[in-house]
Amino acid sequence: MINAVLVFNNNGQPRLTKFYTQIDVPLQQRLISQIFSLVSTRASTACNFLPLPPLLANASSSNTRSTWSHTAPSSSEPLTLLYRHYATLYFIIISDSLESPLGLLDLIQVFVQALDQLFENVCELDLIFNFEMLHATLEEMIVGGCVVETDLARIVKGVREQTRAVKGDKGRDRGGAGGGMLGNVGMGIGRGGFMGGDLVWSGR
Amino acid sequence: MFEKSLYDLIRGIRSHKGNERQYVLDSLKECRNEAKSQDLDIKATAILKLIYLDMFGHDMSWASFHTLEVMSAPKFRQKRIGYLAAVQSFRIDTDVLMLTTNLMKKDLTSGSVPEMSLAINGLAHIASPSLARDLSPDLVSKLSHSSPNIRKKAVLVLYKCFLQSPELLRTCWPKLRECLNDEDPSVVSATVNVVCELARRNPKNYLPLAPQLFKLLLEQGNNWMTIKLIKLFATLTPLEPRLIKKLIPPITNLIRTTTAMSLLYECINGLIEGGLLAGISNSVDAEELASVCVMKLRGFLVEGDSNLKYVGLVALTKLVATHPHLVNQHQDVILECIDDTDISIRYRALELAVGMVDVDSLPGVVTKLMRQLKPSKNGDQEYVELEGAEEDEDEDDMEDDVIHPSRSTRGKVVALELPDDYKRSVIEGILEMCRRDMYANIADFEWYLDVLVQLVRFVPPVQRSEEEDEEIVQAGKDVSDDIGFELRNVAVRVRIVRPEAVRCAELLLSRRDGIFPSAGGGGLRVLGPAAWIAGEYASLLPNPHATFDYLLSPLSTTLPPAILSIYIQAASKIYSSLTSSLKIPWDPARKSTLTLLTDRLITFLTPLASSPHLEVQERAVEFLELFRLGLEAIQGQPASTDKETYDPPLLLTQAVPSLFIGQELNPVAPGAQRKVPLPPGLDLGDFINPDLASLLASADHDPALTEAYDPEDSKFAKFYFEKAKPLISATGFGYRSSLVPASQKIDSAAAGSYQSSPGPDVDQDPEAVARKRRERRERNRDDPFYIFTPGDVSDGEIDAIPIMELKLDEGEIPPNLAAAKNKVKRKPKERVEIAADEGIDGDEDGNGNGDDVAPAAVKGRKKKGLLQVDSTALEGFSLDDTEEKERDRKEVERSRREVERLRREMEAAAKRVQEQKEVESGAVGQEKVKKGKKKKVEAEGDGDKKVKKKKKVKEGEQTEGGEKPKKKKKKKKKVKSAEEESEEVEKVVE
Repeated sequence: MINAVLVFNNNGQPRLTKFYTQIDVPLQQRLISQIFSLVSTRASTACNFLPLPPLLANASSSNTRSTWSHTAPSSSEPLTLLYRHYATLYFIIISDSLESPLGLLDLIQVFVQALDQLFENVCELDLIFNFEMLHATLEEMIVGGCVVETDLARIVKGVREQTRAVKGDKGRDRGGAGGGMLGNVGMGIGRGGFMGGDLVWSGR
Repeated sequence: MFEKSLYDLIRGIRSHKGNERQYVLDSLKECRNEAKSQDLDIKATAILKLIYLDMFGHDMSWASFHTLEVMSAPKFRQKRIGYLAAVQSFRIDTDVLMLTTNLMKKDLTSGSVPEMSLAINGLAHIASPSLARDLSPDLVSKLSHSSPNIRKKAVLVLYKCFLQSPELLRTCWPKLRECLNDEDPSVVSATVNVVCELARRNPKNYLPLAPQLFKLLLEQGNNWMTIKLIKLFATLTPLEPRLIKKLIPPITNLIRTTTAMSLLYECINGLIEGGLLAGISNSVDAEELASVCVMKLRGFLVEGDSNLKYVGLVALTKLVATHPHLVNQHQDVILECIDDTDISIRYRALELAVGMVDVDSLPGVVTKLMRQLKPSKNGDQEYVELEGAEEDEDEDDMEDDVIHPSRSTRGKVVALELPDDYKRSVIEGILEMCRRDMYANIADFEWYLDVLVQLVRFVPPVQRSEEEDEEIVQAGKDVSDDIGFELRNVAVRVRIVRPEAVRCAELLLSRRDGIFPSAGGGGLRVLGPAAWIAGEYASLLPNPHATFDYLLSPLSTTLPPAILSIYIQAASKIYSSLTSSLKIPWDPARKSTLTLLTDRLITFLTPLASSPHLEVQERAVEFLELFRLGLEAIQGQPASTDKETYDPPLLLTQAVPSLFIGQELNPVAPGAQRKVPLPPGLDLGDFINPDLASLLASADHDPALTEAYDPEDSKFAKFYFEKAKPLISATGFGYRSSLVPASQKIDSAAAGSYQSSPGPDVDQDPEAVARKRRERRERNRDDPFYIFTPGDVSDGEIDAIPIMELKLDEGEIPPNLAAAKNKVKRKPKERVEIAADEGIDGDEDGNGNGDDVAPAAVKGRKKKGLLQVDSTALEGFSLDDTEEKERDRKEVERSRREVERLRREMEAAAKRVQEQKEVESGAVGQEKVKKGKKKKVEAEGDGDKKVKKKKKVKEGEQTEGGEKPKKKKKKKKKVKSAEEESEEVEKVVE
């Protein structure tokens, strides 16, 4: 199964964190920063597999280091860490051996394509301000760590259905009291506000 | 006060550059207040902001109750926020979890599909055992929902519920199984996915599905599902080898025809992992199939796509265990990957190379790897293109990249800096490939020693334990330990190169420039084994005086205590070999040389005698005393003059050497020691002197005994008695485990301990003496440096001791070292004697790691990976359609028998009443009770008794019902089936 899906930008700021196993927030943050430090030094021509960060390498008997024994203990399954880099964002998937690594790389591609269709030319800002939608899209694809849908059209349809439901009760609600959380309402302003500057998060 | 929306929050953070932290803390405070608001909109917005901040590490678990409130909001928008918050922040121990049951039940049965999928999705994350139990009926009903979207999600969430409460698997399985026939491919795919996950935990349950799954595989809808099916079959085939034959054709077909690389790869992977290739390895087809796989994998390596290269190497690494010859054919491309610019690929290639090397390729591969370790000089540095990490065009849209992902042209070229971790892996890899199968791949041990010495130079600095506590464990280990271990191993096991090994040790001890890394202080830990070699084989040292100097240099005192204590021992051994010679005449020159040597040793040891490290201190104190005596002896013995000749002092020629010289040290299998049998008649729990405790106690208290000695002696006596006290009390209470060390002592003495000069034997048991003699004889005969004639060894022992096969014409290796040296060099293929571990009779696990590894493995099992799902409950959990059913059936049988027993009692009672009238019927009735089938027949023959019997049966049922009203549901069902059975009887009777 898939253990986690992470999205962060070139500065290591998380844009989406989804762990399919319950782990504590500080640990999540440490894991993200470890993965980021690994992924940010990758060459553009390098393959999309990452060696396991120390946090994971110690826990599961990693296949990258130290254990050369051919009889790997069956209980702790080796994890695979995959990433894809699109413009300013890294998409990371951590999975176990029951998932096909190449298939997961395609899955990231489908994910990004779905986002692209939903946002029309998706960019990082879309994802920042619409992280609910981001989550919804992911939920259409992966439920509880298992891939549920890989068909682009059906994913997009599923998300749109939800969005309609939200808009539905927004209509009842005399129009958007919650602020520009959905759709492209806030995007123009968002773009303006974030032009040419990187969000530096020192509080992390 | 106007509440901030999420949008305001994000902008606010942006605009407070420099003190975001303060801003965020303020915002968190606001959220805290807003979350308490009565207005659900405000509350929901607050929660949404909290989710956002949670992503950055600001835990929102405190808001779980507010989350719950938002989850139960009527508006979908708010509900969605609530569910998202729950998914992100609820844990299994969140206390409001139990309050969600009704809410989720309501949402699951909601009419709107989005709401339902929210609840289903939420449950996938927050399922707890009780939630799983309470909500599973609703989920099962969702399996037949009209929307495939709901169906497919429900299937997956059921799996999550199974993880929480495995017994649900039994009740839900039939429904879940039907989903394999769903008309919607996504639902089928999801079901296959779940079965695949379940099968990994207990494949046996899912074997009956094989035909159905096989059909799905043949129909080959979507690649994603086909991959899952192949993975599923790979877990099933080990249990059902007959599947292999069936699976080979379709998979072969897929391999030949598919265009999807992922599918192709998974097919090959499935063949390897499922043991399919190994399973049919004896046929010609299999060989062909395997070579097709390898050819396809070669295609992966040369394709140019780095991802394919990576997975290709992974697959080859798995394949090399079963088909080394096929993999070996593609050494050319594989070895190219070792020098790939991508570190991930290098790791894989390294791993593969370790498994792949043979005698011929080893030197080449090692040279290649060594070249990587060498610090690159200017000019031939490797360059890699880095992805521009400092892009600030955040608003760049990703469309282009969607089409051409991850291959952006911008970036800069930087020198490839190999991380220390990788260097460490390379060194470990080199050592591993060299030492595998007891140095089977090494033709030239001098070359190997040379490699080892060179490797020391490349050892990266020792890993400092950073703030991470997990790394401390790793920091204790260093590759230079491994190198040292190898060095010592070769020195001990391969006698023919021992002089060379000793020379290497001397070289290392000299710590000349260029031997150790110039910076970082790595590799120093090789010095411990090096010192040990120099000390143990001091007689082979080319330059013992120099080595002695190296060991005693002031630099040595800065070494880690573990190494320093070895140094002390080694220096003493070298001293002993230098001084013990009887041949050198005891003239004034000799006398002053030895005085000098002893003096130096004493000067070296004196400060160490007050070392804070106990091991160092103890050794230093002991040897200090010894060498002070030695110095006295040297000075006390007059030197020979022309007129008179004196012998060198006995202390130096006899006493000191006897400390170090004994029988040769041989490698002993780790498990061998434990297998030394306890001599018969030795009861370790028995007191040697049953009265010892009281004897000592009385001695302790009796002033007459202690005071009798003179004051000096009584001090000693007191000292010893006081020390002995705890021991006395321990044995006095019959504390048996305190005797364990004694048993170990006996064991170690028997199993050839250090320098094995068995002290005076305490036990005079003739059996034990004979055994000891036998062992001693065996040890000598068994000396792996010699060929022993198999004639005088019992068969069991021959099997137990792993021995290198030797060519007879080769004869004994001549002790002439120069000749041996040449021999090895000229004929690299020549067999070199390598001492194997010594074992004891019946030592099946030759290297003895069986006992040692097992506990470690158990420990490892307990340690759960960080991201791993706890699925132990599902492991070995069987479905009702296999053995569970069997068990149930037995239970049914038992209750049936119970019913029949009662019936029999009733019948017996009735019989007694009717005995006078109808004798025959009683006999028939009794027989009937024994078995159902029999009874039927009997009953048929007993037609005229039908009315009576019916009544009896009825009575039996009543008793059954009356006696066990408290039985659980399950039991009731069984009783019911028993009732059905009796009804059947009734029918037959009628």
